Amino acid sequence: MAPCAAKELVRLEQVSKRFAPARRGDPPIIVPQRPAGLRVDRGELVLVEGSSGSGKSTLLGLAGLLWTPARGRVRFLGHEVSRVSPAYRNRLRRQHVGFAFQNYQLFERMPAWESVALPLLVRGVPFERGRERARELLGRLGMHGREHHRTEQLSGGEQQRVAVARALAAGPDLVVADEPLSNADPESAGLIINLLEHCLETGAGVLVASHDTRFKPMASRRLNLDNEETSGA
Amino acid sequence: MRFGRTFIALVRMAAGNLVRFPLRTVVVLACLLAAAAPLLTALALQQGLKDQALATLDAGPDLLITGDDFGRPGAVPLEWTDIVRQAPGVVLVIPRAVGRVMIDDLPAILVGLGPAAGIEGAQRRHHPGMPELGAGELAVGSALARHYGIKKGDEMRLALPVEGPERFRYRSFVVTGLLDGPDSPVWSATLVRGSFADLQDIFLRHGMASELMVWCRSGYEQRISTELSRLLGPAARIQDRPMMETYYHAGFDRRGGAFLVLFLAALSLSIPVLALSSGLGLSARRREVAVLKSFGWETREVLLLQMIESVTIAMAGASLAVVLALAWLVFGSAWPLNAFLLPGAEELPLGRLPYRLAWAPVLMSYVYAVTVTACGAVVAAWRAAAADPGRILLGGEG
Amino acid sequence: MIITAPIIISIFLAVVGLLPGLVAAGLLAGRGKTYGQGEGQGIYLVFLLLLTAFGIRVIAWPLTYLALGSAVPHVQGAMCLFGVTRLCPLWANLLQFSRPLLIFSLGGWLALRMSRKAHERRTPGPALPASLGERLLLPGSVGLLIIDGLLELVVLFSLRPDQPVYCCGSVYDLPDRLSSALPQHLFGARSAGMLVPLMVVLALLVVLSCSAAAASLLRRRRPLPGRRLPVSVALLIGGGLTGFVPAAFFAGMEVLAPRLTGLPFHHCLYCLLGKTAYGPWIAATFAGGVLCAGWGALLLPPRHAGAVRPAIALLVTGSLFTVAFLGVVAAGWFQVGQGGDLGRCPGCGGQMYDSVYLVRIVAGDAPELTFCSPVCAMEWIRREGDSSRGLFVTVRDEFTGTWLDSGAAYVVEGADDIAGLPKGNRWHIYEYLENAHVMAFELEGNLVSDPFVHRGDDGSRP
Repeated sequence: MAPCAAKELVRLEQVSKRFAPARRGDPPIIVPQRPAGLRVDRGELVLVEGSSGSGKSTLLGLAGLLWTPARGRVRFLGHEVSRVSPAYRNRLRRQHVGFAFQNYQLFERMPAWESVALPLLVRGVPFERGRERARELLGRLGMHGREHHRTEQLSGGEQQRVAVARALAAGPDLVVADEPLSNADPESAGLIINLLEHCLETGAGVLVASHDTRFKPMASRRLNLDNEETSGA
Repeated sequence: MRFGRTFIALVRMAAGNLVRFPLRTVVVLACLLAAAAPLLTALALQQGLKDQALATLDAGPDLLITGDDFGRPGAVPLEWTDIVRQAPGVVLVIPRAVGRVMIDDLPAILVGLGPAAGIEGAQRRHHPGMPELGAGELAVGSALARHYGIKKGDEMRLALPVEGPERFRYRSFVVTGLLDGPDSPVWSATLVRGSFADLQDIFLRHGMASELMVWCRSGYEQRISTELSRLLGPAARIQDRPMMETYYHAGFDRRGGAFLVLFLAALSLSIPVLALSSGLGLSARRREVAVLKSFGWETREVLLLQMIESVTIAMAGASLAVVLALAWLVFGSAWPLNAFLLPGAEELPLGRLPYRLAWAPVLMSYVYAVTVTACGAVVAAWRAAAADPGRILLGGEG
Repeated sequence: MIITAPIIISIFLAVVGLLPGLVAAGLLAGRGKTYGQGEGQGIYLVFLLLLTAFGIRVIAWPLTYLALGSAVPHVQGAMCLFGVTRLCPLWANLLQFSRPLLIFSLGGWLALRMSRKAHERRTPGPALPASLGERLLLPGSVGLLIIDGLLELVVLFSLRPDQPVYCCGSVYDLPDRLSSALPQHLFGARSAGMLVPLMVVLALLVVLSCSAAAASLLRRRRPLPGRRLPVSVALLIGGGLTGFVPAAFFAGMEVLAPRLTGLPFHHCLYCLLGKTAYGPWIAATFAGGVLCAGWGALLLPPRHAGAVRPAIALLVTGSLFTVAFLGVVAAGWFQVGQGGDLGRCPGCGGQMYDSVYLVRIVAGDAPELTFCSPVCAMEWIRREGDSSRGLFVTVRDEFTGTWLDSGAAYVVEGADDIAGLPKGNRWHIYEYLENAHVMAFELEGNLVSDPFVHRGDDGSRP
């Protein structure tokens, strides 16, 4: 796929995903129950809201190319990718997408800088450059001197910062963040928001699922899955 | 270039993973050591003993003649020495007496060499032998000497059978030497050498020998064997060197083979054990693989990472096994494995046993280690590689 | 059963290699129809199992020969691997065919599959369907995997020490052996001299065609309109390999085995493999070259972009292995790095190496003397033998290299000097009368009485 100059990063049209039921014989589970759509352009933050179980994480997964939709279409950088092979989706994610998970999903017993540098490993980035990049990001998140601390030695807020730094390490075009401020103390939250704003200024798009009101002023568009309301451009 | 950097990064990460999941690493290493180290030790000991046995055989006679006693080896009359010596192609004949005596509670092999008959210089060339012993003199093997605290010049009493109502009598001998030294084969450690005449007295077999050792011109063995069979008749059993070699091999390999068959069972068990241990920390690994895949790691890169981990553990395990085996041989004389291959080893202090760790068993231990870790890790690798990255978003393991 | 450490390990590897095959067969029975069309995790497990089995079988290949070799001392009449295989000739021969076939088939399937997956990673679109070759090689490989594992177990469990066998000399040294008769029939009486050049030419053809194919793929353009050149190059590689393999075998038996083993009339490839330092390297580079070039040819012409890089890698590797094969053969031919310097001959002063023409003499209590040929030994005996007592003269059988007393040997005086030694040599030594008769005919010579007879007799000489 050509290097991305397109303004539109990802567009979901009437998508939903089918999950296998917990019990054999039950009907499959469709998420979200009513197909939804959204669009993320460069330089904008799109906020997805909704109650627990409304399908926020599923929508993020479809936008981040973790899954293919059972229904609807996904366009990424202007190309239809609803039915491409898992290997190709993998490649797109490697090149263009960064994830920050709700439960951080950091690796046990791994130093913070190494956690952040993980996405750079398989891109063939030289070891020293990867370490520098990780240190730079952790520094911007106020973690000077804590780079070598292992996951268990970090507080919840610090782990959250490391998770966000990891999502941004490879300079993705699209950042997908699921509740990035859920356990953040005010200081951490401020630093994370600053970093995300910096990403927007550099031309990345950010897709956030969150209840936190601090994202509302930043969001170009908001999608509420409970009432299917979309506000903004 | 980029692939090289990626590969190096994977190697670093694999090394880090081995440290991050120490339980799995230690269990796998322990399994490999438990299987490979005893195997290498036993093979090295078997090879060392075989080397010594074959060296003894090489230095030994071309033909061995014993009597036939109801189908079992029996004594031979000394007159046969002249008959054998006259056979065309024979260069040297030495009668030997071999018997078993009890020294206190332990059996010992008693050996005596009779007068040689052969062409000039043949004995010096083929059988330089050891110093002659006179009547009443003994040379004792090092293990026996250590066990009983015997030194040169000491007196030894042996209980010997006699005809008559007394049934036995004691006879005293003087120890004039010890069968020891760097070139002494290990079985000489339990030997006692005496004079031929003394042995004939001890076993009441005057005019007889246990066997005749015969050296021939190369290539004449078969002809001489045929000729002697004709001359000596069915009362003689003639063994040539290939036959003796076969008995040596069979003897070693029977004992070693029983050991190896037991090991085959142990080797086979190591795979399910490793499969189980590869599953240690599997749920955490599945979660991690799902996270890596969310960053765009491909399944083949995940598999390559796991393969590097498996090969690293295997190489480390096999290398440690080699070191442990050598230490076991040097400092422990392969105890208690030596009892399998060397009967009597558990009773007598044989000292340092011969060993040779050849390249083939070392290679095989690496092959075993890599094979077992790869097979044990297949299912775990599949489950981990099949982790769905999307599940992470939903809070699952992947 | 003969039990040695290599045999035990080979049994272990055979079982461990068999299990993935059985599991893969079971999985394919249920899911084989979905292969190449939206495969599930079950097919992925099949891939993992076969990948593991491939690695195990490649490692086990030389170990099987090591295991059979370890049984040689235990088998009556066996001088080399060949003798051991006579304990169960049918199964052993089948195993020696099934193993390379399995490795080629399984490796080919892996190459085709992995190149297809590489293409899927790079291009948008749904998953590619599996090619016909992939769909045929998969069940074939699984079947061969099971058969090969079972064959190996049958062979290893058939090894028994109490059964005498005939060894290689009685098969490979016959005048009408296939490796001699067929080339003579095709190319005439002097065909043996053509075998090595023919092998070299065909090897170079394989190297050049693989290199040409790799170069054209590297340029990433079609050198000619249409796909003719890649197809014809694939055929050229295939044809080259088809000729190279039998040429190498025949050259190995007729020319290389006698030269490298130092036994001028012995044509056994097993002796070449097991008794020379070059043998294993020759076998390894030969197998590597043929397999890699064959796999590379399988990927030609590349159906999709994902097959280009693997094809280049395999073709280049195949070329390198084949060049290495020629290098090792040359090193063996000129005895590069060959140790065994035995010093200077006391007769002619020439450098001596291990050869079947050596003669050892022990005179009385004097140290043993070694001569490079019967000629030098006979001259010394004529000069010194009368004054010595107790002369022991030992010579070597030209078929087996066995040392024996000269009085027990049969001597043939040939018409020409074929040994290439400093003073020339027309005397040939044999342990068995039948061999001496046959060689007297071949060498256009005569059986002669012992030429080493001497007056210094110790009375023990028959």
